[in-house]
Amino acid sequence: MTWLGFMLRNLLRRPGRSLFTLIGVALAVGSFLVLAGLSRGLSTVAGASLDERSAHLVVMQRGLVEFFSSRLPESFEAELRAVPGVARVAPELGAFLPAGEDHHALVGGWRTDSPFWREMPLLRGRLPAPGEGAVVLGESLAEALQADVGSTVKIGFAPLRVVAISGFNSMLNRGMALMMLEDLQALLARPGEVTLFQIRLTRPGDAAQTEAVRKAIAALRPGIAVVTTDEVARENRTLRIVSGVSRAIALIALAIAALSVLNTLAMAVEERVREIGILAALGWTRRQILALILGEGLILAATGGLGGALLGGFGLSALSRVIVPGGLEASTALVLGALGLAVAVAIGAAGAFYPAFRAARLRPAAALRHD
Amino acid sequence: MAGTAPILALDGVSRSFDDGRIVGVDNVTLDIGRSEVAAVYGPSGSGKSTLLNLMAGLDVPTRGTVAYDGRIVPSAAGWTRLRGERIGIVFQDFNLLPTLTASENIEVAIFGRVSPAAERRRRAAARLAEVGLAHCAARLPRELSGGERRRVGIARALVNDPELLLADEPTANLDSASGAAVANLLLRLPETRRVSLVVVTHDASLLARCARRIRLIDGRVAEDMRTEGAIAA
Ligand SMILES: Nc1ncnc2c1ncn2[C@@H]1O[C@H](COP(=O)(O)OP(=O)(O)O)[C@@H](O)[C@H]1O
Ligand SMILES: [Mg+2]
Repeated sequence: MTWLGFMLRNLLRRPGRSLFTLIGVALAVGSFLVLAGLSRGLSTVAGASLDERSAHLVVMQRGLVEFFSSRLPESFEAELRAVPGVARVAPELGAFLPAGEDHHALVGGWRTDSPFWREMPLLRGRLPAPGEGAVVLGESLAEALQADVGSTVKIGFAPLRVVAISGFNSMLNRGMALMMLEDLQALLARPGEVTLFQIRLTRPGDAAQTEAVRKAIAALRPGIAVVTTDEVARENRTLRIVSGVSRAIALIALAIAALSVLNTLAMAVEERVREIGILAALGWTRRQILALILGEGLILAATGGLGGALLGGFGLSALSRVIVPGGLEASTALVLGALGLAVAVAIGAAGAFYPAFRAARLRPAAALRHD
Repeated sequence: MAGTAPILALDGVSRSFDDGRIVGVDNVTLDIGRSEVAAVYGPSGSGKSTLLNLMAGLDVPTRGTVAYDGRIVPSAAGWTRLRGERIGIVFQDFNLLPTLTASENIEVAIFGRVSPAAERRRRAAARLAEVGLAHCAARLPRELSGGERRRVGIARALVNDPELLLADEPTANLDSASGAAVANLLLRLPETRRVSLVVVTHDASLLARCARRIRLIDGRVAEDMRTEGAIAA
């Protein structure tokens, strides 16, 4: 019999209890991964999608609770263009709208002359014309809506013709619908308004210039936020709240999982006091007894953690399909899996330590009299 | 180190419980020599098991000292090492792990000392053969008779090739045939394995076959007798 065999034998004595503990750990780790992945995903996707359009700075309203509530007049563009160091300015109107029957999509509106249209990778189809009521779908959004060039999709309950499929890489852009700015303004009944301006600098690597431009723009109007693409998410209070709440729930789930491992092992140690006394009487050292109980905890937790990583992976990809079509990138999935396992092992160690310590401290003679 | 020192030397050893209200063992001084066979007997509650526990370092005296092989064992960890390497214990209540087979119960005693697992299994098989239970290796304790369980317990106590074997009432609760078989097995060991044997018993026939007989009453040594040539195989 091996160590592992002995530990497994002990865990399998109470198969139901071990299984429930394992499921508890799996659920905790799974929900931790979903929530952590969600808040991480939400904040990185925004930055990544802006980077992909090679924006350096983003101008929007400051102190927003919700990103899409930023309202700036399109006419502000001229003032921004005049700021020294600004190479180009591209306004964008954004909205989160119902798409198809049961999806939501981020919808962006760009002006006809926007450089984004030219730079957009096009898989098939053509660019929309203003006033046409046409839309370009990101690849994963098209997949989710089961639409292609030539189909009609409902965006914000308005039927729009799909004229092209874009081939962006970042998750957010892949799940986005793009329209002519004036069409989206009409759809939203927000004529002359945009959400943000994306700015390209003449010398993007130059920190001094970046700072100078930020200051100059901020001075143009009160209530303006000028942020780098990484900071966009941080500027958004909803995202921050969602992230914070997610993190708190995730930590509670983990703590409960650790307690359930602790409870299971404490019960097992209590039931096995006499057996632990026998082992000690046979010459098992404290360290060996500690290792046995810790090992049992780690087996429970690691198995649960693997289950949790799977659950989390499924959960995240399902969630990202519903909320933002695009799914998980492979690297993220791996990172989350490894993270899930690490978290589970930490849970196992935390939960197992106290019972293991208690077991190792038992006096053999007293333990042998126990029944 | 197998020199002149007795394997065990108890000096003024007492063990009381409940803040001194209950006397387990009271001021016992005695030596156990190498390859000696000593029986401890006395009425129930006279402190026999307590004495055996103190001899194995399973319990700590409230007064006095226990020296092993000429040296006072300094710590619980020291006793743990001795039990792992040099002492074998046959428990009164079998104390087999119920979920493990006979072989695994023996293997568990050398976990962490003997590896790999195959070597542990080999040694367990050899000890089971030594006690005549080669065919029981894969059986769980509940599938064994009382006499067989006792013999598995003896095989386990022997798996580390001890120099001192402590047995607590090894023939109790066995029918007379199994009791005799266990007694024969145990009394052979000092010769075949050169172990010192301390056996707690109130089995008159086993007692009669031990060269030294220590009688405990109320935790005190009431009598300590040696008979030349009492061992009968
Ligand atoms: N851990 C303990 N706590 C309290 N009393 C004990 C303990 N161990 C033994 N005793 C008491 O010490 C006395 C001697 O017990 P024991 O050594 O088991 O006797 P024997 O083995 O000779 O029957 C008894 O009165 C018993 O109740
Ligand atoms: Mg007793």
